[in-house]
Amino acid sequence: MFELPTTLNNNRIRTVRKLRYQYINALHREFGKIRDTLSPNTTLPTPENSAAEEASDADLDRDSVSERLKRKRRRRRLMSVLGHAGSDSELSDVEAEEYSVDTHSHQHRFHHDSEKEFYGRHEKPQDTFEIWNTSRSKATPMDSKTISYAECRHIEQSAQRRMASKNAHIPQSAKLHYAAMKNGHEIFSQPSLAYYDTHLQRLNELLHLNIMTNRWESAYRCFSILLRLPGVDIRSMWGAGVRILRELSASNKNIGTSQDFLGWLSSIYTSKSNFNHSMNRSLDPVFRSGSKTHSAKFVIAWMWESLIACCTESDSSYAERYSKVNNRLPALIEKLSEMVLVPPYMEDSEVWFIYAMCHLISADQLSERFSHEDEKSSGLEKDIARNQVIQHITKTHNCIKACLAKNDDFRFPHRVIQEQLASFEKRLYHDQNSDVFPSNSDTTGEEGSEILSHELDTQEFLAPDVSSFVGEDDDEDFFGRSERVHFGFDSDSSSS
Amino acid sequence: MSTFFRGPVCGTDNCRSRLWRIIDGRRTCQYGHVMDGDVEFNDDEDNINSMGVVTRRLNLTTNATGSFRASSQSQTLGQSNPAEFTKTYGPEGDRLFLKCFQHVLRLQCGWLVQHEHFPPVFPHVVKLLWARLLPAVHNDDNHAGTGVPTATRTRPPGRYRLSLLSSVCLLHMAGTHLRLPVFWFDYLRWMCNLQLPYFKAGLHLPAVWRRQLPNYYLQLLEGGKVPAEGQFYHKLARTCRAVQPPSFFSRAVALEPLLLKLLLALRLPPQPLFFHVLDLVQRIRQNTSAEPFPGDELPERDLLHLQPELGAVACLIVTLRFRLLQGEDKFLTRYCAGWLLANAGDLVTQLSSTTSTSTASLAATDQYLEWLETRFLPASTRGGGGGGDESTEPGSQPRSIDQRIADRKLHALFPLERVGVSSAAPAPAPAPAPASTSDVRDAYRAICQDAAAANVAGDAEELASRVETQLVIWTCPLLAITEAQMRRCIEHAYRCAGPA
Repeated sequence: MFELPTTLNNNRIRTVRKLRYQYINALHREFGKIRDTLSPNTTLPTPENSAAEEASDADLDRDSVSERLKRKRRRRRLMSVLGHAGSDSELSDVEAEEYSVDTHSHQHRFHHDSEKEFYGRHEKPQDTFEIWNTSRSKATPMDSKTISYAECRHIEQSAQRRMASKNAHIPQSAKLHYAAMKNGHEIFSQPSLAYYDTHLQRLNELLHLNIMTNRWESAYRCFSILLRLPGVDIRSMWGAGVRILRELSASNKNIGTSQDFLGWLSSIYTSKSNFNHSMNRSLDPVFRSGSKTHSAKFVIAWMWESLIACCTESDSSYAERYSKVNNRLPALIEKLSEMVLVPPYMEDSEVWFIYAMCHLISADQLSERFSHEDEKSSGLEKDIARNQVIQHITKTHNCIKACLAKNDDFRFPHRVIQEQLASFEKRLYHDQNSDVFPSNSDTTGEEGSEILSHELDTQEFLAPDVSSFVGEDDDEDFFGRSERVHFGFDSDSSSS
Repeated sequence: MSTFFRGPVCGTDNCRSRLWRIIDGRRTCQYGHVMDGDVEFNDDEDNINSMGVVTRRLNLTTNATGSFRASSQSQTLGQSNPAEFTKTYGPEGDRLFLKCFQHVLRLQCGWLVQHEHFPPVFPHVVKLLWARLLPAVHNDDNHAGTGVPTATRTRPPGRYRLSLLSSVCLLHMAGTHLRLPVFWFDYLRWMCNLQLPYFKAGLHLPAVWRRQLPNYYLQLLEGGKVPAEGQFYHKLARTCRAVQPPSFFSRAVALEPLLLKLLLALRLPPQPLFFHVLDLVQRIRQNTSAEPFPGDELPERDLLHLQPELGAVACLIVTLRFRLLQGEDKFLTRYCAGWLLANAGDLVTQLSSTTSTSTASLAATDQYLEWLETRFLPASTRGGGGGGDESTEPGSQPRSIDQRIADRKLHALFPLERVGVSSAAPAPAPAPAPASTSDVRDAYRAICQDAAAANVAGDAEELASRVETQLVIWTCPLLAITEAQMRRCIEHAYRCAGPA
């Protein structure tokens, strides 16, 4: 019923996959022969491709496809008259032709990987799995040229012939699977009935059913057994584990927290390792792992979790709040600042956004502390504190700018954040210009400021709808003012 | 480092230095000016071997868990396993397989003697049988090889026609000879509970053997699926033929204990049924004059009813039906009405052969998870992941120290709830043996209570057929045969009992 979190890998799967790519490549090559005159440069000009094209071009220059077919047929008939078996000559014909092409391109054909050849022509799956071109401007017109049915069948047949000559000795089961796949069927593999697999399946089902019915204790037991079994890949079920831990870790002190688990995942399965086509072919890369171009989902989840943990923990009590400010959030910020230096996270707008959020929250906390300790501190201390807040605010601006520059459809309420930042700045100067900002005028008392801080706390940006409904011009006004305030005070504080 | 050498005047910013040195491959003057366009390559062929000392860099990096680890290249070079490919094939591999099989057999005997209190002579009997089976296995192989080459080609892996089931057959035969009250369903229960080394028996082998054994033999020792379609009886017949037990060999299955065990396992009342069933079995034997011992010349298919165990079960079912139809015994009728409401059978044995879950109740789930934790998990992680030992996981590389540390950290995040308990008492209460007397008594008592409340006004015929259906449903997983096979046995019993 549910997908097993194991990695299935056997000889047949490997063989069938190899056959598939061989077949696709053969099809492509045959198709190229027909269509070459129409669209010459479909592939990148690698030496291999150009060699292949030269060979086929040479053929095509001499005569068209139909001519060639006719010639071949005539030759075959001649051969049969002479007493050679028809299929034999045909095979040798195809083989010889292919061989000549290959010897041109490859001196050594031992490690020729047809899958690599296929992926050389295409975008890699990890590049494509999240691309959804919705904008009409990016749409390209479809290639609307058609080929006739006879041509298509011819392509298929000749590709098939090529394949047959190459793979005379594959096992029967692989052959059947390949034939089914070629005809467009999908093979339903029966769940294994072996003793071990039966129990594994049952355990997996129990895990999912228990999660669905919110029986977390049982789900935890299932999960803890499941991850100890050999052959189970934790990356296929980390989501369930995080959910279970989130439910249970508060009550049970023996087990780890979901943050720990995500941290473990992120440190064990780094995205620095290459995404290996030849190994991970049957697995979905999206939620399992990161690559050089995509940050792993569990890393993102980990960042969010630890960010939220920072916030909630510092909210726990009023007195703790000040002591905790210096504790975990700076560590997270430091970690993020290291992360955004390396490729997958450098290009990920979500990571940048989290980074911005970290700065925003620390600006919030620091500015609030500033407004509380206003009376006690001397002028110099005040300046230092003010500088800190300003620094965080500018960093937030920078991160958001970086986030916006990534341009990959990551949306967030930009205006709300701007407003927040502006209000944090106002806090710093409320006693000086209390008449300018009447809302903050009464925050000298602790009670009022606490309420205010809760109002201004980070939950607010989670409701973007409110800000989007605010009139456009009003926002502009606010935005402009905040800019002015920002620069004014920045220079002010630096000069003093 | 201060090895200056003379060269041209530097001249940069009127620098007058003539002394140069090489810093990072760049020629730099005394005052630190870098000479333009002068890069020095170290392209001397350093003959490493002649230098006497071979240095190797240990790339120590910190890994995920914060501890040092050697980067893979430098460290694995040192301990590279000399023979990459250690499998042995051909006659040598076959011999190794026999050795491994023998080892498993010995383990099974050892377990039976130790935990189920089999007599100490039991292993000797098994050994005798195994010794008789071995030449037969070899001859069979040779005959097949010379006489019918196609037959061998169709099934190359089972070259010896040996599977783990053969080992259980040997055990069963030895048990029959010693007239032990142990039957196939007992073995099946032990197998499914992972007590008797059967499933994943390969994990019990010494690591060296496992590394050498060819994969198709390893697969054979995995156990595969539960033999739920009467494979055991077929195998038993074949093994019997191969062994050709000597004349002094006791061939009769101990009927009385078999019947009693069956009745108890099915929670049926022994008193009103036992002697009737015994009577019926004797009568059928006279009628058919079949060889009572599992078949010397048993044909392959469809004659499962000649197996005494199955015959006895069929007789039991038939007798119960007859008795119910007679309607003389009021208690039996009343009891059966209650019995229909109860449940019998071993949970794990049932679950091992089927794949449907969703109906599992909450209590059953807990029980099942308990079993998984205490039995299944240790048995299936045996050898691997234990930490202390070098992993001997079949098919996978031995895990590196990093992986083991990572695993340990992960397991610390998800501790098993019962870890403390099991470590404190390494041998917890032996797996809930269904024959533990109090359980049985409770079950009977519950049924009796149901029976007292049950309404017996219904039709006798309907009751009988319902009881029969239920019995078939429950006995099939118990004996690991399909329902169709069971039905055929029952039909045969009817046919034979009819004229009498």
